[in-house]
This record gives sequence, structure tokens and C-alpha cells, in this order.
Amino acid sequence: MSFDTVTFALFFALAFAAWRWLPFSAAKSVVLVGSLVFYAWWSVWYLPLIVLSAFIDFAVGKRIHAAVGERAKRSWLLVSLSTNLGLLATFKYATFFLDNVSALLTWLGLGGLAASFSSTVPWVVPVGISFYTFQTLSYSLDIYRGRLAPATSFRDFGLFVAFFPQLVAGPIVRAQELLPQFERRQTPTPWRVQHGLYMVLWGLFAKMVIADNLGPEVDRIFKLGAAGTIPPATMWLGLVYSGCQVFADFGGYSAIAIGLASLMGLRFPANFVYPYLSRSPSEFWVRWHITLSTWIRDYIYMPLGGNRKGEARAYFNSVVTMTLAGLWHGAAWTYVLWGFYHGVGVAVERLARRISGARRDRRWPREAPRGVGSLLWRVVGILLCNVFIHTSWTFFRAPDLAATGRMLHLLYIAPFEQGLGLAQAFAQPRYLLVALPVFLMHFVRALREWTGWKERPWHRVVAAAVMVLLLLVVRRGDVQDFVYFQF
Amino acid sequence: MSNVERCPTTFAAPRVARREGYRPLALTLALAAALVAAWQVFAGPRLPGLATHPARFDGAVHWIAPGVGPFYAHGDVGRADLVVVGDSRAYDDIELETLAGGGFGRVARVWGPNADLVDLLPSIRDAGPSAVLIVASPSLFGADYDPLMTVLLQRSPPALERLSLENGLRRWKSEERARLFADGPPAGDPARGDYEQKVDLLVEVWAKRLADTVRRDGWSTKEVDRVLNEWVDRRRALALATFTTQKWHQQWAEPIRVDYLAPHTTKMLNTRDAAQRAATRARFVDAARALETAGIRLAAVRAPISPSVLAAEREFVADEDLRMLFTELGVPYFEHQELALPVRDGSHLTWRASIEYTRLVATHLCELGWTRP
Repeated sequence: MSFDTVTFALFFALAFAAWRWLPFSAAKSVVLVGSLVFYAWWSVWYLPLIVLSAFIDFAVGKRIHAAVGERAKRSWLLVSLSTNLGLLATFKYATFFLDNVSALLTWLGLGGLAASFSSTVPWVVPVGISFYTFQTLSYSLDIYRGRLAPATSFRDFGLFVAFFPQLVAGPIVRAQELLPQFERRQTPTPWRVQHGLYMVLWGLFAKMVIADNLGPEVDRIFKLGAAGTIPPATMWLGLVYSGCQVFADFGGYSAIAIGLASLMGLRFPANFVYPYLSRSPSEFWVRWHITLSTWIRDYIYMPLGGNRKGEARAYFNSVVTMTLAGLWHGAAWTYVLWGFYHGVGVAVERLARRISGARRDRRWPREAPRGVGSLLWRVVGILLCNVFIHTSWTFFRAPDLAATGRMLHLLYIAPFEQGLGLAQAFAQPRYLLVALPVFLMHFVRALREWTGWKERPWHRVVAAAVMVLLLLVVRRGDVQDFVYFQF
Repeated sequence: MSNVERCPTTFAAPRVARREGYRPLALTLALAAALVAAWQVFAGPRLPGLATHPARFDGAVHWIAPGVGPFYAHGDVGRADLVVVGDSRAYDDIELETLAGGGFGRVARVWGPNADLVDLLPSIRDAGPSAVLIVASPSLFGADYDPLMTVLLQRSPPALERLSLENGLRRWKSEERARLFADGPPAGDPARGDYEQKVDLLVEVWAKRLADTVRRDGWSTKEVDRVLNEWVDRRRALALATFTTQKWHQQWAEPIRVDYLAPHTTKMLNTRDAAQRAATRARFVDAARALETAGIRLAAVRAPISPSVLAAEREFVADEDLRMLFTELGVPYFEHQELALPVRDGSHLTWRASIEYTRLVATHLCELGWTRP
């Protein structure tokens, strides 16, 4: 059941009423059942997986907590790890694995044997499997590290795993963030209700007006780009549209999830903070899909040693961590390469800082630029970082590595061979208008971050009213599933 | 430190003072209502109205036999009382929901954008509706539609398992692309690029329709979503002046393209000679008589088209030919080809015009006594 359907609106009305007005214990039971119905709406066959994952982690969490001695704790942790990673390996990566084994055997001249590794598995990737397995994994890991006490109620734990706003595409909410909020009913204040409504409205607007209308044009350009039959400027424009589309799509989903939780009196962590204002790859990952980047930082990068084991190891850890993050997004070499590319970007940034002696600006919000030179330097930094980020969308969207190569050729070599083809690229500027809200929101945010300009309630009133109008009168392009459902 | 503390929320919202209560929400609703009203007054008249139907399911794919078809079905044909059949005009010019409100019982539609109607009629007879409305056009005497589609039709798509639908579609797409690429112009031919793009587009469209068909054939929650969304979408489009970004320029700046499909019509009808048309006509007469023998009532309409498309059609099939066909069959036939209703491309009505036209057709069917108690 997707957030942008009438079915979901009806579902949420019921879930909200139950959450708000039933006795809290009954409300949690009803919302848990509702969440499972919400999940089963995609396919009832995958319901046992999430129930199994939740049940095992709930039981294992108690065992880890109760176990005496490191060895016993570690053994129980292994049960959780093998269950969750096993689910991922089977349902998400089996096809990828079999395809690659088959290709390798063919390359070795063992074609007959390769045929037996046919990738036709009788299932598809269950919706949201990467999100809920990461949530349950973090639960077990946090108990193992002594940072979290196990949940006492399976219903509460089940609700933490399956709570419908964040179930299929995040944000990846940690147990210590969500479980305490299930202890007593949070009464939503007028501010929280209106904030929630605003977030839901923005999310629907981003998905239905921006992402779904940009989607067909992005598909068209990437298809032609993969064949290498468009001018370079059109490919660049396609990357910009793609960046806006994926942000509006995934950022929109996260905003709706955060808004729905807010309406129910709950608080979810932010997942996107104006990512295209980043000035470096590492800043991008502080602003983009924050709950995933903090997850991989805490559960992969830090256990690998982080930056505590010397410079060389820190570079290595960055690349490995980001490559795994790429693989998390999808079982294909293009995603692996996408993650590797970002890992190299983060490592190179670290090296550059070390050489230049510059320190990363960790203050938040960023302070105002000091003078015109500082402002220009900041703008140049944002532009360069966006070139880096948007180049990575070629890996993210390309059907295969060969197509990625053709697109990169179009972006970086073809302009010197055949010119940019600007006139053709901007012959139909209507999609720039569709993407305009994404530019505008980043511009306004930059003003706020750099000048201290304050947002007033009436700004939101005007923005919300305009979004309502546009949601009503702009028809969608091809209705598409949220991009991150596939992950 | 958790990321909640480290980062601001996505929208660091201004705190609304306690005394403000729900005033911002009330103001938002009031302003949104004013904007919508202003939109209707100022932008509404400048938009020519939705050229195409609001988001609508293109129909579940059905093959009559390998290589015969495809046809697309809307509604449950097997349980329908009235089935609308025809070419793309049956899809574009008859608004099923409007017709369903006319008191004709359960209504369904089967249309074929790339197939001869005569091939469909025996299947309709087997479905057993009490009445069939034929949306007639010269293509009823046979036409060749899209050469690439014809290549595509040489192999019917396989039955696809619901649980592994995505895997099955992926395999089907890859095999179809390879087969069609092999049938196209050789590598290096200047036409190869366009051909490959067209193949990709067709295969994608087909894969989507195959998926829809598989989901529709079994009970599917996607079907529930689709029906509810379409219901709401249709009402929104009736109440408000809406527009699509993909047809932005066409809707704001271009007049409706009344001559657009005239050359295509000539090309499509020019592929059959008189003898072939006569043969198809004879087959059609037999198939229609078989329907009547099975107790199924028939009526036919000819939908409004632009003068240029009408002229193109008359080069190959005179109005009189269609009139004589239905007279010979004893089937009531209503000619509206010269009716002045807005056509978006010369051959198909705009969405609002299709509603108006369907009401007219429903009136004729009422006069024939087709309404059910």
C-alpha cells in the first residue's frame, strides 16, 4: 500500500483513529495488525519473513542480554546476524550471486555447468527487506554492545519493526529512538499536528507533482544516454532531473513517513537535509539518507576501525563502507560501483584535507560567508560537489556497466568531440519548471543557513496553500512506485 | 550523539506559539481555497480541457490465438451485459463510466489497437453478453497498423506467475528485445537507432500491460488501488481544470491537432486492397450473424472525427459501404462522423467530448430499449 494512493488515505484514517482514541494498549495492537496488513498489501507471501525476523530478534535480544560471558553473547548475536543477513542474501542477492557464478563459469569455459546456475529464482525481492532487516540488526547489535535493554513486550517490538510509516522505505529508526515512544501515548500538540500535515503535504507534492512528472523524461534521457544518442548537454540536464526526481521521490517518502509519525504524536529522525547544498562528498552523506549513513557509520565503519587505526586504514574503511552501502541499494554491479565511487570521493576528500591542512566544518548550521570571496568559494564548492554527486546518478540509474560507460563518455568526452548541444537540450524547458521547487527549496535554505533569515509561520501557510493547489491541478506523469521500494 | 540531535529536522519548522493553535492550518485551507477558485476563473478558460482521459488503465491484454490480437479488456467481459467493441475509438470515444450510469447493466469494453475486430467477435459470443455495441470505422474492413507491432505479435507473451512476476517480465523483456533487434535493420543502418528506441518503448509498454493483466486475472490489491485512484481522479478532473506537464505545451499553447492523424489514416488503410476488404467484410458479416444467432443484440455507431481524417477514410471506404453493411445485417447504425465535437488528434475525441458523446450514444441505446429494469 503506497502512501500516494486513496487506499492508504482510508487506511491511515482508520489507523489514526485507533491510535488516538482506543485505550493505548489496544491501540498498539490494532496498529500492529494494521501495519502487517499494510505490508501484506504488496504480497501476503512475504509476511512470514518479517514476522520471523522480528520474532528471532526479539528472542535473541533477550538471550544476548541475559547471557553471561562474551562468548555466549556473541553466539546469540551470530544467530541474529545470520538470520537477517541470510534473509537478505536469499531474497535480495541470490539472483545477483547466481548470475555472477554463471558468468564466471562461462568465462572459464564451463558453459554446461553455468546453465545450472540459472538466475530464475521463484521470488522477487520482498518490499522493504533492506530496511526492516537493518532495523532489527541494529536492535541486536545495540543490546550486544550494552547500549540498549531488550524490549519487554513482543507487541511493542513488533510495532517497532513493522510500524507502517517507516516499514518499507525508512527512515531507518533505531530501537532506542522508537521503543521509548511506545511506552505511553504521546499527545500531539497543535504544532506537531500541523508540522505533520505540512510534511505529508510536502511529501505528496514532491512525489506526485515533481518526481512522477520528471520520471518519464528522466527515463527517456537515460535510455537515449545509454545508447549514446543524445547531445552531452541533454545528458547533463537528465542528470539534474534525475537528482531532483530521486530526491523528490525518496525525500518525499521520508517526509510523509515523518509527517504521519508526527500526526500520531511520534518523532522520527530526519532523513534528508537539503543534500544538494553539500560542499563535499562527506557532507553529502550527512545530509542524504541520514538514517542509512549513520547506520553504516555506527555498524560498519566504526567496527572496521573507523579513523582510529591510521590514515591508510581510514581511507580503506571509507571505501569498503560506502561500497557496502552501494550494495545495500541493489544487487547489481552498477550499485556496487556507485557506492565505491562515493567511497573513493570521501577518501579523496579526507586526503585533500590532510594535505591542505583544512579541517572539516562541523558546525551546524553553517555560519554566514565572510565577504564576497567566501560566498563565491562556497558556491563553487556546492557546484563542484553537485557535479560529483550527479555524475554518480549515472551508476545509480544505468541498466549495466556498458551503459554507464557510454553515459560517462557523453558527459566528459563527447563535449570536446561534438560540442555541448545546448540549444537542443533546452528546447523544451518545461521540465525545468517541474524541477524548480527543488532548486527553490535549496536556495531558500541556503539563504537561511547563510544569512540567519528566519522562517515565519506565514511562509509555511503560503507554501502549503500553493502545494495544495498544484497537487489538485497538476496531473501526474506515469505513476511510478517509490524508487526506494525496490531496495 | 544520535543523528536527531546532530542534524536539524528536514524542515526546521518555526514553532507555532501555543496561542496560535490551529490558526495556521485554517489560514492555509482558506488561502488554498482562494487559490483554487482563482485558478478556475483565470486559468480554467485558457486550458482546452483534458485532451486525454485522466489516468486510466489501458486494459488487460488478451490474445485470441497466438499472433491474433492483442485486444485490451476493461471490466469483466465474462459477466458483462453490454460489451463495447471496436478499434481505438472504442477506447477513446466511449467513456465506460458514463455508459455504466445509463442503466445498461454491467458494462465492459474490448478494443484492439492493432488487430481486426472480426477476429474478436467469436470470443465475444463465447463471453455471452446480452448486447454488443460496435464502434465502427473503416478499419472494420481490415487495416495494417504498425509494422513493428506486427513483428511483435508473432509471439504471444507467456503466462507469468504472479509471485515471480518481476523475474518473468525481466526475462520476457530481454528475450523480446533480442528477438526484435534481430529482426530489425542491420547494425550500421541509419534507421537502426530509431528502430531500437521504438522496440525498447514497445517492450516496456507491453511489459507493463502484461503485468497489469496478470495482476488483474488474479485477485490483486493493486487492482483495488487502481480502481479507487481512478474513481477519485475522474472526479477531480471533472471538477477542476487540470493539466499534465508532459502535454504542457500542447495544452497551453497549441490548438487541438485536428489533422494530426490524417496521414496515418491513409497509410493504415492503404495497406489493404479492395479484394482483401471484401473478404474481411464477408467474415465480419458471418461473425455478426453468429452473434445474433446466439441471441446477442447488436448496434453500431460511427464516432465523430475531423474533416481531414474523414476525407482520408472516404478515399478507401465510403460512408455508404458501412451503412450498407449494417443495413444488410439489420443492425441499428448511428452515424455521427460529422458531428462537431472536439477531437484531439483528428481521430479521437477529447475526454470531456467523449463524455458528451457517450451520453448521446446512451440515448440511442435507450431508444432501442437496451436499458435493463
